[in-house]
Amino acid sequence: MNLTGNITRFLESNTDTDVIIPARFLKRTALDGFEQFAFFEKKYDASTVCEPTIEAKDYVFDSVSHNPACPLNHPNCKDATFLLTWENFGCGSSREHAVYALRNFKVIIGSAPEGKSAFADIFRDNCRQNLIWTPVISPEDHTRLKEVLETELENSSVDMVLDVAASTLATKSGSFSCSFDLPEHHRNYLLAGLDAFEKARQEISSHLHKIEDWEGGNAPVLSSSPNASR
Amino acid sequence: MGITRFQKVEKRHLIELGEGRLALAVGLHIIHEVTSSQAFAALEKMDIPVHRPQNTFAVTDHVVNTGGKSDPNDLMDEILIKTLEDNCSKHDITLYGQHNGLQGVCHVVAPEVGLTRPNTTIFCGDSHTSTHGAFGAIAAGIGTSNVRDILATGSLLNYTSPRQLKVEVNGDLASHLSAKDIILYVLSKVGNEWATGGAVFFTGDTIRNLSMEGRMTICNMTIEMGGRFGYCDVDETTFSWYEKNRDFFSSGDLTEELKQDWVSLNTDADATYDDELIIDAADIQQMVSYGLTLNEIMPISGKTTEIGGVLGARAHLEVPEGTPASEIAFDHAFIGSCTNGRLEDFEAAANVIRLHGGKIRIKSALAVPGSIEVKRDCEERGLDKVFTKAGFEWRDPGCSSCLAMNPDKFDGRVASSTNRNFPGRQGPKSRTYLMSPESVALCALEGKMIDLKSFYDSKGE
Repeated sequence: MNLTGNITRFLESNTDTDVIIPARFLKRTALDGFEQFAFFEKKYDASTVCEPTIEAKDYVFDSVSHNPACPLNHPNCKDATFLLTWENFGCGSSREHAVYALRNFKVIIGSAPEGKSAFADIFRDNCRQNLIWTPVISPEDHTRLKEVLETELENSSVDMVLDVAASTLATKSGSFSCSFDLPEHHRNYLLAGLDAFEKARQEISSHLHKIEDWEGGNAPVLSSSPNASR
Repeated sequence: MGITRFQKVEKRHLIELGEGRLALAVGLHIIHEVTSSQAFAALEKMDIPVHRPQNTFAVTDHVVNTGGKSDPNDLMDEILIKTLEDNCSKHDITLYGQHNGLQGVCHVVAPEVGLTRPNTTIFCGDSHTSTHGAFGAIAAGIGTSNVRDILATGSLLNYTSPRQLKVEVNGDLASHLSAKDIILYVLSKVGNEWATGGAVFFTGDTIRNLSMEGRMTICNMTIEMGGRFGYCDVDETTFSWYEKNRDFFSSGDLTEELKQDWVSLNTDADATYDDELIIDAADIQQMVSYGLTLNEIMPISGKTTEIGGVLGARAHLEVPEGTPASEIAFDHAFIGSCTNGRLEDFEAAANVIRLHGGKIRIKSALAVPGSIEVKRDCEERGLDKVFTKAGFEWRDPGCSSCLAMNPDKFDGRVASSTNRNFPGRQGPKSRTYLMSPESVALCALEGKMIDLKSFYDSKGE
């Protein structure tokens, strides 16, 4: 199985989930439609206004002005489905809305200096749940890929190929290729998709009696609230 | 070879599924209005009931209006809150919300009502859930898909065991410092990703000498060093929390047998760790964050360093490189949040205000209790008057300007008792400087950061 698509970059270290989607855009109760708010403060310049309107029951852009300095706005990165990131991407708040905002991406590539983290824990797990691949490449490969993109994106979009079986990531042109790491349980889940949830749910039903009485009264039970009188 | 409290609690809750996959049984699932609606919608779509409503506790906190009005701020907030209310009533889930006047910050309310217990597992769609680890529970933040999993199965699916980490703090903490200074100091040593993939055991006599409130402040900020779980061992201080009747715990249930069981899961002396940090409390000073991440923290004697390579229109709010901590000028002050929104925090801040005797010298200052109970306790002690007399606004409970997804937004530099200094966190044009509630109070009164030690000394304290 191969995943393919063109690539874009956001290479600031410690990109927190407030940067990926500011808290004021978390008020929607639906799953879809968060993509337009991704990297809001980075992609748009200060004159862009987007506020909730009572009539629309949603956010509405009054004016849109893109920040040309933001690499996500690069003309050769339109409709990208691969995103190259850098150190500790997705840190901070556990909001899965950050991943909802990135659902246009099939693959988010991470990397970090030796001994550092490419992704924050909760963000990476949220990606898995939304079937987004989060391969991690070495810092040396990251530097090489960054250089390849700097050159090639000048002329055209750059298509990528993620080979699931071989655990490799490459440009379609063959100008770059490397191996990547991904935890085994992520890989299995990503391949199984929502079936993995249903399978686990079926399996767990035979363990439910254990959950009911596993800790001898330590688990709080709200239905027997002794003092909830106020 | 010994093991940690985390590993012992984990063992009690671990469920082995096929092919080496693990699940973790969940003792308490806390939900709030922002990260639960999509999870309920997913259950509905699959026609799956909530498995254990009796172990699910809902609180409204993130978008609530703290300004004394009962009306939600705008229609989107109203819909978010209404959605949670509807889901709770449909699935028979207990809700502490504005409809019954019990709203508050979930990590303040759950311990206060006695739902947070040692030896159990607690999850919530909020990264500061590690707060509950102060009581010796396994507690962590999760995404909305995990919220769905727990609602559907009463367990965390696809569980992986974290690395075992330890932060040990020993020695006497100077009397002008508090738990917030300890955790900011630890962060200044390890940075914002040291604990990624890890569970952090906070120990040492300095930690053990802290109140439960102080321990909660410490465990609360574990996520800021990248860790999902932070926790302490159970001791007499932990027991004392349960000696008073709480909404969901009767003091009479605190039997010797229960205490024995709680303590039996404490960390073994010979437990081993993947990494550890040992700190001498004597090295800790009054701390403050600056910059854009939790990698930028300095003592009051420090100077700001250069923050480079970040795109964005708000870089101008950052003070120039080399600015001494004591010369940063503030526009606003905020006391509250799941980090420092408890009675002890407001008592400490009010004490500073009383000793100072003056009024705020900044544009605005908010004091936002973490819960209705905190608010009532403060008011019974007259603390609300201390704050309002000095020019603070005394508000109703909620997350407020900790994340500003409500009307409580600031424009400019904020001295804040919260947990994140990310740009725009307290309003699109805000820049946050994290510090203890006492430091925030003094910043509000002086417009800049003042050494608390000399302040207390000058007042004969």
